[in-house]
Amino acid sequence: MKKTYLFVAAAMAGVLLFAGVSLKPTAPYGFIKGTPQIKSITSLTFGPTGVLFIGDSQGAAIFAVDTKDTQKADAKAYDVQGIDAKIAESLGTTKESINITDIAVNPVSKKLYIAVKNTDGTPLLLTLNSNNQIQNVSLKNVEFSTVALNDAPPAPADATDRNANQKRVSSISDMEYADGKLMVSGLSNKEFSSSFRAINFPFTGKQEDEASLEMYHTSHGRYETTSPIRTFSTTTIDGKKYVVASYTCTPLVLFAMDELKPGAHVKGRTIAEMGNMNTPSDMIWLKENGQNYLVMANTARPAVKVSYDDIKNFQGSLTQPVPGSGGTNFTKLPYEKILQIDKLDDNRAVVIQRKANGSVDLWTSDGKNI
Amino acid sequence: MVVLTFGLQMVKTYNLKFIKNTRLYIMYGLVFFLLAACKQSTPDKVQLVWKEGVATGITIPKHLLIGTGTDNLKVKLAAGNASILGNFTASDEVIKFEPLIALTPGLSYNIFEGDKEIGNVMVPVDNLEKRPQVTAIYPQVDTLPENALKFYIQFSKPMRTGNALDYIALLDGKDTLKNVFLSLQPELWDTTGKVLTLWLDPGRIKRGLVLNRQLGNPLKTKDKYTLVVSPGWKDSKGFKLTKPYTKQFVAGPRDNEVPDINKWKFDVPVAGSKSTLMIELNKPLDHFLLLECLIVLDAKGKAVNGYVSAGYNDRELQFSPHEAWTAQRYTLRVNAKLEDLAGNNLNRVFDRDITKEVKKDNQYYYRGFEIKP
Repeated sequence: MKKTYLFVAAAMAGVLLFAGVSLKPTAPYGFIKGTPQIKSITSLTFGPTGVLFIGDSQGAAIFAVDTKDTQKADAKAYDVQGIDAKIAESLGTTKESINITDIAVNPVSKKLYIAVKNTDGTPLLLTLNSNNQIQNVSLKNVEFSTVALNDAPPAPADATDRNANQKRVSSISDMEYADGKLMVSGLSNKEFSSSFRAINFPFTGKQEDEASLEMYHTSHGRYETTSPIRTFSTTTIDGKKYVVASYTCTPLVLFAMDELKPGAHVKGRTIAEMGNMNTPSDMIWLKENGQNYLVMANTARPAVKVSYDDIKNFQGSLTQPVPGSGGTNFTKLPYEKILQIDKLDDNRAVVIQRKANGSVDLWTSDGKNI
Repeated sequence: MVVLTFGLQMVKTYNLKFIKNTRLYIMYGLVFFLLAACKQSTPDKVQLVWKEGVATGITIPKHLLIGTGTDNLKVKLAAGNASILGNFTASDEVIKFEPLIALTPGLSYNIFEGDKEIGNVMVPVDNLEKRPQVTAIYPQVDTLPENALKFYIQFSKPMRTGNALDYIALLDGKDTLKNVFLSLQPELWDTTGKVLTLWLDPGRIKRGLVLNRQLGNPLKTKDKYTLVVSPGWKDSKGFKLTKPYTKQFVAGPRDNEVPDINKWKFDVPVAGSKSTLMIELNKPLDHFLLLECLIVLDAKGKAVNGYVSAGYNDRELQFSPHEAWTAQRYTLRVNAKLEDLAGNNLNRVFDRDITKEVKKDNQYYYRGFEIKP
């Protein structure tokens, strides 16, 4: 008799237990609720509706966070003079004490997300709403998932100076989400190497879903380097998907996306060389008079744009020495020292620029030139 | 008798209890006294909250407020208009404000209830804090190949990041060289924030590129250079480097060869000793990669526990085992990522001429050595 009672009680408990689980709505994309251990915010990019990818170079990880910021809104121009001073004031410090490390526009809500690093290393995620008000995005108790980026040589236990490995940084130079994949280019603070990853999203933690590969290029068909990628974007040419990558050693290179397989050594096609100190720090696609342009921002030199048609029509690899910058034609834009740029809508960009008078301004382009 | 005994025992017990209780009362009294002494009297003005030498917040005594809630409270920079982002939490006597980032030494903060200022506080600057220093600049050798790729600058404290190139210059004797370093954002700092990796512009070093042909290498063979880290660069707490730090060097010929571990000379200890295995490298290699790219394997392929260090300006490698060497054949395993000063690694040179030079695809390179009895 006792056994029967026990059995019934256990069954009831089971039902209640499972009922509890099934009643709880499961988070999408395999997210769990908690507080991600983010050590730095060095790159931001948006993925599927409301999902923000946070690149953490110090922690060698990427976090996908559900911002719940999914209300569709029209794009409104942002305009804040002295954005660095304004952010510093909101944080109770001076502009010298902070760095704006990246910006990203939520393509749905059009809200601007700004990653900031305090001088003591504290990472912050802020937003600017359409009224130019700065707000904090709390990363406590959020729905998130994470993927580790670890390409350090495996340290055998106690066999080497373990500190050497701990101090390694696999810096994330750029991230972009396209076609269910988060692509990440990286560079190391130690060796000069190219690391590129195509990580399936939702993150699975399975190695086959995290292709790590080497993308190299040759200058003039002769000298080959595995230089790190500084920034990249994606495009489609004749129905085929490509990554357009800019290297720290200046060439602009096209890679076919279907070649980006785990462990592959992919050779790209150089379509242009940028000039001295002209390595773009960021690139986005914008439309102008119905034409698509790849707009490349530079922290030291004027921004440039190159038309999609020129990239598309540039057949073959850059093999002949060209005076100045070579290959595909660039148009110089009248904007120097662009520190950050992101796409607001098809035609306009949100820009953070260091002006000639030293002021760091946030502004929105008018659909012409940028 | 029995009763008497019982009674006596009762008395005894009572006495004991009495003594115990008295002791307890005294103890409680003491504890209470200590607690009362330790407890700060109710603060009568706003105060800073300190945690490990950092001002992390502000406490506001409730009696300064007219209202009861925290909704009407604002903290602003004395020199600012915007409310500082952060959280207010209320306890019995005070309201605590915790900003998103620590308060900045040297700045003053005003606390408002509505439009009325109810207090202010200034974060003092800690003048006893040690000033930051540059502790090393790598490579440490005084002749670098003209295609040298990078420097590491090591500091005693975590530094402010983002403007490193404002404080670093390369002089060729007469002038400051322009456009020699690669400007990277974010800059390449190690996880401690104390070691900066600085690349000479690889676009100028890679052969065949427009940049290389127009401007050439940043360094020219036989020329003398000085790398200068200027004072004024602040650490993360706002303290400046107090003097310039320099590294002088001469540019030598281009290094276009992969490091070859077969050219390394081994000074092998004898069995039974814990002596250091000394390896003389045929050229200086990257300081930080040296420390993480090497391990020693025993005859069974198991890693030998020990400590790797670099010496003689990164031209020598030292391995000190934790246990004594035994008579057997050991193997030094070297990760192919190991680079020399020009970015050539064990598999390929920095800019491989595909018409002449071959590329290998090994993960490791091995070199055996015998420990004799």
